[in-house]
Amino acid sequence: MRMRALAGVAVFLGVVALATASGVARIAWTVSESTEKTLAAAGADAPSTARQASPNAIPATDSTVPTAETKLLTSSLPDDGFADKFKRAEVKFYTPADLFEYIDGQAEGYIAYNFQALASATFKAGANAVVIDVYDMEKPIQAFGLYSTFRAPTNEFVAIGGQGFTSEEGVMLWKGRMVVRVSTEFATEGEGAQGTQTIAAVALAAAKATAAKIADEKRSLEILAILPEEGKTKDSDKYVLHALLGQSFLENGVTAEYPLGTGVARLFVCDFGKPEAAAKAYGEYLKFATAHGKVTETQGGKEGVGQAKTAQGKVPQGLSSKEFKGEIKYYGMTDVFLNGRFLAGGVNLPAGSEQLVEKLKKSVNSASAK
Amino acid sequence: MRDSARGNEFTRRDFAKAAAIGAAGVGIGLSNVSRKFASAAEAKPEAEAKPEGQTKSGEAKPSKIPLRKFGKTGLEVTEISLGAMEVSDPAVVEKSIDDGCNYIDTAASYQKGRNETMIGEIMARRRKEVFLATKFSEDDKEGVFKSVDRSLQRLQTDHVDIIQYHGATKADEVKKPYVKEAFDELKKQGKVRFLGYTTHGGQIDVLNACIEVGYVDTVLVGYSFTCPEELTEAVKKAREAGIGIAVMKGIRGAKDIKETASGMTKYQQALRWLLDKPFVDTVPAGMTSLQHVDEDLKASQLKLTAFEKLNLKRVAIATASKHCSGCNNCDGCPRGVKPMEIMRAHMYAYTYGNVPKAREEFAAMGGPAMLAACTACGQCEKKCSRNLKIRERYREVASLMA
Repeated sequence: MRMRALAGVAVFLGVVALATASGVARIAWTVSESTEKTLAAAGADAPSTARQASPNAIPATDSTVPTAETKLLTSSLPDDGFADKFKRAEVKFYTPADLFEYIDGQAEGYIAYNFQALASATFKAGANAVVIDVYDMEKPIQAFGLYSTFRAPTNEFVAIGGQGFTSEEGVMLWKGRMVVRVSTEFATEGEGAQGTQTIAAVALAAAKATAAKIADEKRSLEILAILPEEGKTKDSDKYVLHALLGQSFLENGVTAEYPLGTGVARLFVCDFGKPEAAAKAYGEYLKFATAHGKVTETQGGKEGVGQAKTAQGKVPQGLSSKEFKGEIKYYGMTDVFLNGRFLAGGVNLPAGSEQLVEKLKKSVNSASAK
Repeated sequence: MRDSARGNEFTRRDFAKAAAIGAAGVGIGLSNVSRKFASAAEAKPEAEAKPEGQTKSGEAKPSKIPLRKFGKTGLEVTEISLGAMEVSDPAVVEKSIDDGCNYIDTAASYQKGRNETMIGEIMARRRKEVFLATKFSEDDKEGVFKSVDRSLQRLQTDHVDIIQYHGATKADEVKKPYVKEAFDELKKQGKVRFLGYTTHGGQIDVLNACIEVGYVDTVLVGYSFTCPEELTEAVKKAREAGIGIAVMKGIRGAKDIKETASGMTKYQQALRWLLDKPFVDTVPAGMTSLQHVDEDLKASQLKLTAFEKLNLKRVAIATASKHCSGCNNCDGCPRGVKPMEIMRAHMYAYTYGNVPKAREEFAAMGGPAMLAACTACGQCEKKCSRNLKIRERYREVASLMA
């Protein structure tokens, strides 16, 4: 994939050379300062679309990146010299309409998290290149969400931005509303050839330099703090914008894993913004659960039939207004409760999960009270 | 992205009461599908028609979803299958298999392998029930070998049924020798069975090249009811040549469809349009929730009404209206540029994926000289009846004419 991207870069350079020679320089392919000035002088919008030079690709027609967006993304790119002699050679921009041309079917995964635009910058030092991709995901929680689909607890993590990890392909991290992917293309022999340690060091330097340019926004991240920390598998948190747990009615939620006894519980919290919306989702979940398992509905906080009680037999006041529990197909033992605008609970609950769920209820209750 | 578009719509439907996929689906073989293309398939001696778990006596389950022959591979795949790229929860994979899907499509690059890992945790128990297809993105033989080995490890299997070159957009990508060489070696090792290409850009060129080289077994192609007739013909031609056709991006344009009195959702209508094509063997649908699985698999049992077919045509035409109408309002450039002619070249390249044709048209019209004369004043844009960004399209055309 990276070789094809660099082949595209070579084609682009050929196009520019040809265009200049034939006098077509005014209609440039990628963003260049001279073209911007030309078109600005002619009263045109600044050229804001550039794409991988794949001659047979069919881009969608709505592929213009707004100028404000290109400025934001460009300002998130590192300056030259983040590692010895690397200088910015070019920047290409992509939108949801044409992101697939750059990363094929993976684009759907980015769009699922409200991807806004991408700046893909190539920095060169002789025969070697570093490609820094900065994805604007609109909100920090969406940036984290996208990042969380890629990471695994077994990754080699690095403390860059919100978090990052290294792999054979380079570095991936998130910070503020941005997700950054750094990849390298180094000569394998001859001039410019470097050992893997040096290549890795360059990738890290690029990642750090990029993170330093990105604003550290914290808004929208509050939901991440609701899941209990104790007992959680580190770095198993995921944020899902749509279809959490594979359920259409669960959205804007987080989930994480909690090993317990012989099993692994999965806790989740969804923030619906309004109690009515959460209640509606609860109703749909109960309908699903009833159709696919054996559940009992309880109501907490009130006297009456079937009210939820703690192990001591007391009614837990205010921790949930509705709750159901039971065994559901595909999800094992399940406990789901409603509290204001939050719908939360646990699936695949092993024996002895009651305390874990109680901790979650208290945490959700605190969040609900804010 | 489907979920954001249709999550709320879905809740209006009570799929708990929807006809069970099971008994209603059994017996619906290929009776409603022309057998013209089925007869073109020749089973390869070594291929099992169904996944192993469906052929052993005593374990055979009647298929809940109609089966179709996958080109000349000899495989019989469910006409709706699982495109796993956007699946975030294993419950969706389990349900897809439970409800009859026998084909799962993934890729090494999806979530950096996490997608394959998720599927692998299920394959450890259910490998025999499905055909598996994955993809590689590497540019050389050794890279392909490593990618496939990593995929097999993550998928917890010793072989995949289809190994695919990921994201071809040009004919010469199909003709790169390393792909066939790698495939032959991997097949000898028993790690892969069939070779495919995936494409959603430059599809016509890629399909034609796959036919030309003669050794491609399957193509996963971006295709929907909004695609132009030229692409339909190219897909048909590939299928006639015995290449198995799997369709992705099949619901592109569906958001503009209106739901009708028949009760078919817009996504079911888009899927049904594909299933009515005898040259389509399987649609690996991007089902991201259990509810999507119910909705999509039901399309196998439904029929488009005459009104719905007309409606789909109308939406397809309306989609095409985002392109030049040929009204020529833009004519009259003081520098002699003919915007409509450049728009035609743009259409060939960017709507039909026929870049060679675009280049031919561009050269014939004196395109380079016209673009050289253009000062990007924007007068043509002001007169455009569809408010198209003509100067943007000039840039796009220029980029292709290297």
